[in-house]
Amino acid sequence: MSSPWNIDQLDRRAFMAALAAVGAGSLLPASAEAQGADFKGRQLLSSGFGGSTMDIIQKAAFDPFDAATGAKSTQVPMQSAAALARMKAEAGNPQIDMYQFSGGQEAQAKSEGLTEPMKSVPNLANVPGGLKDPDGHWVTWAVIAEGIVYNKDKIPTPPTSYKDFFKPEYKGHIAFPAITNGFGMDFLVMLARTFGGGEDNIEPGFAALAKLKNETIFKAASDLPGLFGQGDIWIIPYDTGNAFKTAQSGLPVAFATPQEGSPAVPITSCIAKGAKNADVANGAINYLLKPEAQIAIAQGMRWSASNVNTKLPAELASEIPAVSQLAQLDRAKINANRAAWTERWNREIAR
Amino acid sequence: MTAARPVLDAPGTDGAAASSPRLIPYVPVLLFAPCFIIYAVLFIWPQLSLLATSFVDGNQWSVAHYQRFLGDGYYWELLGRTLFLGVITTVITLVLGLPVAYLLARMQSRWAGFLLVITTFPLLVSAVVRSFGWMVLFFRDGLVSKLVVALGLASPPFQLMYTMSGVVIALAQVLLPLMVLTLYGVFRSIDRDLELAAMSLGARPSLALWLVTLRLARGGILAGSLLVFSLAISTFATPSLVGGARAHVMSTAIYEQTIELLNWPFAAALSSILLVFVLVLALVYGRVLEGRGQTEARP
Amino acid sequence: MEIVIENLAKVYGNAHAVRDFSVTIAKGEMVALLGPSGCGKTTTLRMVAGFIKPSAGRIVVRGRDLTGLPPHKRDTGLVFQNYALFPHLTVAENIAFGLRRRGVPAAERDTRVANMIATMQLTGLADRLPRQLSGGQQQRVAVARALVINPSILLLDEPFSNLDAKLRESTGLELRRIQRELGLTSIFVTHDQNEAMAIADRIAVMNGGAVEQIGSAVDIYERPRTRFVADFIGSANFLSATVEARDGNVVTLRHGLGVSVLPVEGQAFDKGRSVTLMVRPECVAIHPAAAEAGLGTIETISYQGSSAHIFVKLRDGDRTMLVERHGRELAGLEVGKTVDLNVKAQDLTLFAA
Repeated sequence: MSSPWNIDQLDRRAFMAALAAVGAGSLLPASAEAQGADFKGRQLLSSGFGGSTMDIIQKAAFDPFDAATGAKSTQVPMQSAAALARMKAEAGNPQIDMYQFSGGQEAQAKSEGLTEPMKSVPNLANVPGGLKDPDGHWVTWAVIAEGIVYNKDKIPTPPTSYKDFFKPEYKGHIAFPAITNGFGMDFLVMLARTFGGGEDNIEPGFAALAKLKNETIFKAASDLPGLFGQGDIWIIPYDTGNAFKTAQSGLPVAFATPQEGSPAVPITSCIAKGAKNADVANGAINYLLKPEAQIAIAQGMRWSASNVNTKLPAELASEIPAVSQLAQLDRAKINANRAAWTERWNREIAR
Repeated sequence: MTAARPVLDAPGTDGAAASSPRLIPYVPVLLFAPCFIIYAVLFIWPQLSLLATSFVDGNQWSVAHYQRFLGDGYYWELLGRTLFLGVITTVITLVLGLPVAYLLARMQSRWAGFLLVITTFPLLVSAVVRSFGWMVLFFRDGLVSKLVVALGLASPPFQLMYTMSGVVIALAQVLLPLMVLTLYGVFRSIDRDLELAAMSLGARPSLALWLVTLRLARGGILAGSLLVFSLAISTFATPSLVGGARAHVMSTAIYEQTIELLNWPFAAALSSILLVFVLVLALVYGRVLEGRGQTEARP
Repeated sequence: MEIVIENLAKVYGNAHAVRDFSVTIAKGEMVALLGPSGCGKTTTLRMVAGFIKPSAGRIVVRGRDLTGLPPHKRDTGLVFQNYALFPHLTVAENIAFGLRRRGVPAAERDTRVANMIATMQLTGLADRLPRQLSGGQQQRVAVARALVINPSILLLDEPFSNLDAKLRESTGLELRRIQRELGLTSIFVTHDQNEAMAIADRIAVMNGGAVEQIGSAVDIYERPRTRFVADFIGSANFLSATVEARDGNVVTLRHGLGVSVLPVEGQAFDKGRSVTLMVRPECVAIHPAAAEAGLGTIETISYQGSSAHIFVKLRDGDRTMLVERHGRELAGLEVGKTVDLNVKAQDLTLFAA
């Protein structure tokens, strides 16, 4: 499943930075805080989401971590699915110490024995049980809330339900992501739930989606500005982060929370089994869980926090669905059915 | 004021060259070795392991993935669509590229070199970037989509984005320079005097072109077509970006199975099937060339 | 007249590739266009063939103005320098190509091709491809292909330049024989003066896009009209001379070898004028002389069997004279020997300035 955060997959600057870090990192001066100068001269390689997302995360968590410990952290842009493939390919001899996932890959990584438990991450204690692995193999450090992204000019009254996608007046003005895009899968599941089914009974979802099969189907978040920029796509099932980003580019776009609930996508990190810099990765994950980092991430991208101690400023909190509005999807069931549903989707919806 | 033109011949220079290189038997082997080793390590070995992977199901050998492909109309349709993409792209690049390559090859002007560079310039830009360019033109409000509607070829709302037609257009543009370059080389190697000879013997220029130049260029046209066809059926970036979810082809299906669904054995089977088609085509092409070699030759 | 070419010209931008080319060719005549590379001879031929559009002038063949016609309507037989045989067609197919374009019925076509194959001594090669033939055979196929269509004019572009020296003369004479037999009017282009002189009825010597002189080989060799022609054809010794006296149309000239009296016409030869004399090497008489009396010293002797080239350095300056003698008449002539040189007035050609 591909991450929606592949805006600038091939972010050359970041890639070059990664190369430079590998080559010259040891020569970089480490400005260390007194308490944590123990990673001086150490290098940390993490997968990252690319583009501005990666930059915001770098500034919010990795940079302060580096400054405090003397480590040198670099994110390598990679789609979540590709990252898992890489993790699998490097099993036993990981080059990348830690991974960031947005599509539930952490569970699969753990089940395939590609991860190792985190150690001495104090902030882990502040993350609620549902957002971390009971064995400590992965932890959620942000939550993306999905819902309805719409054109404010064309749809003056904010949509309230997934049923709005079937309003006759929107016909021909709808776009939705392909199932290989994580949000496309969640859309299918939410449609199933909306029309009386769910993870265990996907039929209503496919039946509903079939009614939309002549609408625009896109694959990547990078198509979003193109779609909204045209003016004739009015409504798309997507997330707060991209709604915010698209609105920032000057388009009249807003986010609405559907009454059926906003599917929550956990943004997680885990450590590759046998990573040479596992200790550094543990330190970095602790920083991702710090309230300061999570507030900065929420400000930059409208991602929700996972640390119970993180208190978002009021104006930020109003733009992000409250925890009570989040719909928790059964990721294990979805993963188990992914191949079958993808096949079916390819045949029935995309054809 | 002087004298005679020198009539002296230059002293003979046509003696045997200083030392004819005596080839030691293993020298060709040594010269060939690096290339072969790289080829073996980076192509043959991965290809074999790919093939092996495609016959694994769970923990045992199996032809299940091939059965799944062969027994499912959906995959036949996928393969058919992929081959159709290859054929139509080849035809378009051939029709557009042939006259361009011919004119460039025959052009005497000093602009010819410049025009050739212009023609091949797109090769310097990655296919991803070029596909992004087409996306801008193909969205509903994009120039090309609007043009298609304005010409009455489609009724609104219409967009080339996420359609097979869009993929064909973008892919033809991406691959056209390769076709032009190949054909340019071919036409350059055909003596222009042959066409003139045909004309002086009474052939109209178009007939001279057909009977002589195009007949001689047949091998090169086949080569260019094979090149474009194999690239068209295996390319990933353009169908993925421009075609989106609807214009599903073998390469995007392979990507989906590999990256999204992590079903590597089935992806390997899809890759092997695609490879077989390219190989069969290359063999047929070789046959055609061989047959041609018996009655024809390049100048 | 069979072929009339009038004031033909070709201009590329500011460059005159061919200027004011006029010639009249009789039926069965063979005219050579001779000159150094870039002199316009090939451009002229290609204008006649129709490959290049003339900037001015006209080409009339058998009373039919060809100037505006495309090549395929001109009915010209053309033999290319590189033969331009169709590599994908057999010898017979190459020869039949023009007949097919003319819609000649198959039976007649086969007969004519067979006859041509016999005439050009290509028997047994009919089914070969051009690359399976020797250079001489390829050349004969090229000629056969051009002749079989009975062209009103045969054009040859350096037809022998790709043959080795031994083949060149025999092939040239053979071609000449066939051309005579068929009564073909022909133009051929060459940069090789021996070839032109051996084969052509008349030679047009071209230089810088213009014709310097048209005439028979003898005319051009013995009575060159310009210094270029004299220099280009054969070997020539040039002597500067001064007009000592003029009496009507007779002048007395003083030059390095003595004094000569010649008939002239024109203003350029008044008393006191500087002029140039040309004498062919074989027209210079050479005798051994006493050390103090001779005009010059033998510098080099280049023995070539039937003849020998003797280079004589003149005493009054650095000029060297080339003298040609029969190979067996070298008695008393050795390098370093002092010699006397004499020329007869009738062997001198006079050029103004």
